[in-house]
Amino acid sequence: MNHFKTTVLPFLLLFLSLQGSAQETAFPEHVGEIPFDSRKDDPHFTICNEKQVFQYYNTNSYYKDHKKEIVKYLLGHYEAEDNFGDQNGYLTIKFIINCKGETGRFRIFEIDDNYQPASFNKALSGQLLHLVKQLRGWQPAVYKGQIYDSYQHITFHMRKGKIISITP
Amino acid sequence: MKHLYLLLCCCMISIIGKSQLNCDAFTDSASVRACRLYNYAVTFYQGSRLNQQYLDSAVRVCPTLAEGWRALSVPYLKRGDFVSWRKYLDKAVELQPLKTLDVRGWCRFKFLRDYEGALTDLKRFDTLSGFAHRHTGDGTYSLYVVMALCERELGNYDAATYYFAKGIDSIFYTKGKDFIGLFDFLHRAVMKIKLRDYKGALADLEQEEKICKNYVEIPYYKGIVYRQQGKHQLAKEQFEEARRRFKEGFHLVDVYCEMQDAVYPSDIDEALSHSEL
Repeated sequence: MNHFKTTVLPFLLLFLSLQGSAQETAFPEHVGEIPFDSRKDDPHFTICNEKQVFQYYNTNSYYKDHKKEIVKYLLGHYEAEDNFGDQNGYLTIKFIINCKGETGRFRIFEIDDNYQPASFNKALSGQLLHLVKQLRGWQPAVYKGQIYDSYQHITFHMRKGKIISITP
Repeated sequence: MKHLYLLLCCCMISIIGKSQLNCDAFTDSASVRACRLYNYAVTFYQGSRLNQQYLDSAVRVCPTLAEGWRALSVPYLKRGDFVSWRKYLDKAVELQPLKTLDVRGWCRFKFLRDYEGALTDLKRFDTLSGFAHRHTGDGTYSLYVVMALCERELGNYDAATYYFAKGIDSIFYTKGKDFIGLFDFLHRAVMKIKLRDYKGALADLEQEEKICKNYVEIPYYKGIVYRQQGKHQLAKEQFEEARRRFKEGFHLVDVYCEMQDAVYPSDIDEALSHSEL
């Protein structure tokens, strides 16, 4: 009985406390995951394993090795229009590279210079999304000889409608 | 010694990043309970539902637990949701600026190349901390070198020179070369090339070679200096050495972001093609 009080009970209380507290906010299975949305996504784009999509930083990613070429393509094809002069902030395009090296499930996140939600001119965001969708040659994540689906994002820092940096 | 220092630094950061809090340090029951929730949360994969839920519970039980807010923010930063990242991290900064403002400044520099914003945070942190010499969360840089890089990228070379001096020279003379960051001399050399201080750039690249042997970027930038000086044969030799190092040596790389001044194989091919004309 003493053993129960000194060893098992504290763990039981902690467990109950944790169980009780952990129900307050709904979080996705993984932060930043992109579930399929029939209103937005190409049904022909499939991923190998919904339950195990790597992050770009989990393995050597194609993006990191080829960033120079990717940036060259994006900067070379982006055209700032006359009415983009007041467009400032950060526009992030997030997507999945599937195990075949195809890309899909694109999502756009837009913020202003103060990191508050914002909306860029649709022509600007549409142009950047189109360019990112046009990128070819992606290679899937490889870990211990196995190929995996992975998340990637590209963030454009915009100032007066011009791209001043592309990250990560 | 140099590598041992950096290894220890990285290990400490790694431990701090995932370490459990000492709940005995808290005296009130809400803080102790939040601390236990936090410690339970960090046993789960970062960014997973259970990890986030338990961290969320911890800050609900004790809204002043800055570590909880900071830990909640991290996966959003890494995964490109910067609104959520700031939402959580800003609460930690409000509560404990001395432990988190430097992190926010460094991350703005690293993940978003928000040089103005990073400088604002780091200058404020510098004042708050009484000008203490601190390093980035991953141990790569002195915060003064981060500030120098921000100023350099904004084209403010006098300010960059000032911060490089604080991050490199003051450390060199007070603590010794073993305490200088791995790539500090390289970054300053690149700025000196821009300023056409070729002698100074070569001196910094020589120092860099003593700290980081066999890195691609060192001969590449030496080659750039020689090319600018019209010493084309020497430049070609350096570019060829850079190409060799890409196969057999190391290059600037970071798991999350492209590093400033990183050189790609195509840079070397292009430099060599020019030197063969």
